This record gives sequence, C-alpha cells and structure tokens, in this order.
Amino acid sequence: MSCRRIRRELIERFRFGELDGRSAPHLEHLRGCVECRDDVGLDRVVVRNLQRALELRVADVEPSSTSFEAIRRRALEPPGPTWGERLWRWARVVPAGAAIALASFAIVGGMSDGVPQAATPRQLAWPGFQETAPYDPLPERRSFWTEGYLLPSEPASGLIAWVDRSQLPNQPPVGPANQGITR
Amino acid sequence: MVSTQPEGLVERIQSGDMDAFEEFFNTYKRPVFTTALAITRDPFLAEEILQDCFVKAYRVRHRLRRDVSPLPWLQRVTTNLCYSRIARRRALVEPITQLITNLVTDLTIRPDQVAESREIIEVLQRGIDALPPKQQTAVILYYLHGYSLAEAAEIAECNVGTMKSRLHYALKALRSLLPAERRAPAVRPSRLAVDELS
Repeated sequence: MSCRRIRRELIERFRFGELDGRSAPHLEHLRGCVECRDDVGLDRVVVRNLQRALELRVADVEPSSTSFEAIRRRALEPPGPTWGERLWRWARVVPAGAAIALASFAIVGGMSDGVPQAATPRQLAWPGFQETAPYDPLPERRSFWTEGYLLPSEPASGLIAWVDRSQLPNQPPVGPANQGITR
Repeated sequence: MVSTQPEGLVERIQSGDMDAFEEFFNTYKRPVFTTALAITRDPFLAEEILQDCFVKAYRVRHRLRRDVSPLPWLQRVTTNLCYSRIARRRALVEPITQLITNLVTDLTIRPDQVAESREIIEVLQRGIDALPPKQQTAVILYYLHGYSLAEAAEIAECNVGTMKSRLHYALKALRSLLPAERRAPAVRPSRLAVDELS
C-alpha cells in the first residue's frame, strides 16, 4: 500500500471517527514512516485548531434578552403579501405601464416627421396665423425670431416663439399687441 | 445531537399557545444563534437572523412536523438566511488565492510566530470566511455543533457522501493556507499522531 493511499484513508477515518480493525495495517505503517506520521498529525492539528477557531467565533455572545418580545410582536403582526398576491399586483400594474408606454410612444411618434405638432396652437395678435411655439418649425418654414415677443394672453411670460412664414400676412399689422417682433 | 422535541410542544404552538412558542424559542435559540454567529461573525446580524428564523417558524407553524425535531429545519432556515443576508458582503471578501498569497508572505516575514496556535487560528478564521457557503456550513455543523455526518447531511439537504466531500475540500483548503515549510506546529505532529493512535 502506498504512502499516499495510507494517508488519504487514515486521514478520512480519523476525520469521521471511522477507525476500526481495518485500520491496523495503516497504523503499522505509521510507526515506520515519518512523513505519513507528520501528514496525519498535521491534519489533526488543523482539525483541532479549526474547532478552536469556530468556538472562538461564538464565545461569550448570547442572544439578546429582548429577542423573544421582538419575535412575538412580529409573529403576531399580519403577514405581508404572499408571493401569489405580489404576482397578482404586478400582473395588474404591468398592462397599465405598457399602455402608458405605448401612449407616450404614439405621441413622440407623431412628431417624428420633423414638423412639430403643437397640441393647442394659440392665436396670436395678428389675425390669420398662429404661434408654433413651443416647437421649432423646419428652417424653411421659419419666418422670424420673435425674441422677446409677448403673447397677448400671457404678457408676463416673455415667451420666445417661432412664427410660421406661411401664415404671415403681406403687411404686418401695426399695434401695441405686436410690440417687440423683429424680422 | 439533534434532540427530539419536548412532548407536545409543536401541537401547543399550532393551537396558538404563545407560552409554548416561547418554550420552543428557549429550547432552540442557542444552536440557531450559534450557527448564525459562526457564519456572519456579527452579533447584531446574528440576532436579526435569529428573530427572522423564529418569526418564520411561527408563521409556518401549521406545517411543522410533530414527529421529528424541528432543529434541522431551523438550522436550514438559518443558514439560508445567513447566506442571503451576507451575499452582498461576500463579494467584498478577499479572494482565497489572494488570501493565500498574503498569508505566505506574512508567514515568511515572521517565521518565529508561525508555530503559535494563535497565529494558526487567525489564519484559519480567515480561511473559514473564504470557504464557499456549502463547505462553510458543513464545517460549522460538523466541527462546531458536533452533528454526526448523517445529521449534518440532513440539515444541508444532501447525502452523507456529499457532506464528507464538502468537509474534505474544506479541510484541504484550510490546510493549504499553511505554507509547507511552516506547517510544523509547536508540538510535533508526529508526536500528536502517535499519541492519538495509541
């Protein structure tokens, strides 16, 4: 029997308390083999110190004296939702979320041709054309930059608006409502 | 080592008797807390896990078996709670290869201290922390609690051969932490071996 096999078998039998009559040849071998003795002995030392190390981890620490009161309080609370209930909640939320996502996508998709579609275009002071703000029309359709233009309905807003050229009258009307417009 | 439960205790708990549940808690709190503490090394976390374990036991009390000890089940719940709680921390633990390298360096620098048992225990503490969870559980159940192979296997929900294998690989990893040239402890191993054999 080889030293390697003897060590392996003997160490396993030591570890699991399985030494018996079958171990006699192994023990006989140990008497004459220093290397095997050292190897088996080292295993014993490791095991002994391992047990000590584990005992030190838990030494002198006890559960809190108030543990049971905390457990009692929590145990008597109504239990939280079960997995089935959680799943049902999600099953209801997910379609709603999907609907919102689809609606958002449809709105964004509606603007994908590059010509923004103002949801509620407001009538400006000039009759015959509308404000395109807050969206920027395509460059060829831009008329002028109405920096500082004051919307008649919101004089304090200081809104900056683009005006669609196609809707411009031939002659800009004159009046206080168009103050600030520049070509 | 896995004792049978006190007579009629589970039946009383199942009927909603809180005094019985307190008796149940007092009977099993120590081994549960020991396992949690040995794994986490954090008394506060171990306390939380102890509470979680018994709250769970109360909530599923109607499913507890009356004919066998609840301890293996409690230990199984405890180990699962421990590893789910520390999963995030574990990522921060030094990889074992790096750990071995560091230890070899340390031991080379201070050869006079290598043989000290305190030093070996410190090496083993870090080695235990670095073990994979299943091996760590095996070591704690077998070497700390003193469960038999069959009991430890029952708690870990594996067969005896698998439990032996986990212990074997755990010890192999722990042994490897001691560099070959520095393995000789203060008391010669050969002497120890002969003493134990005789």
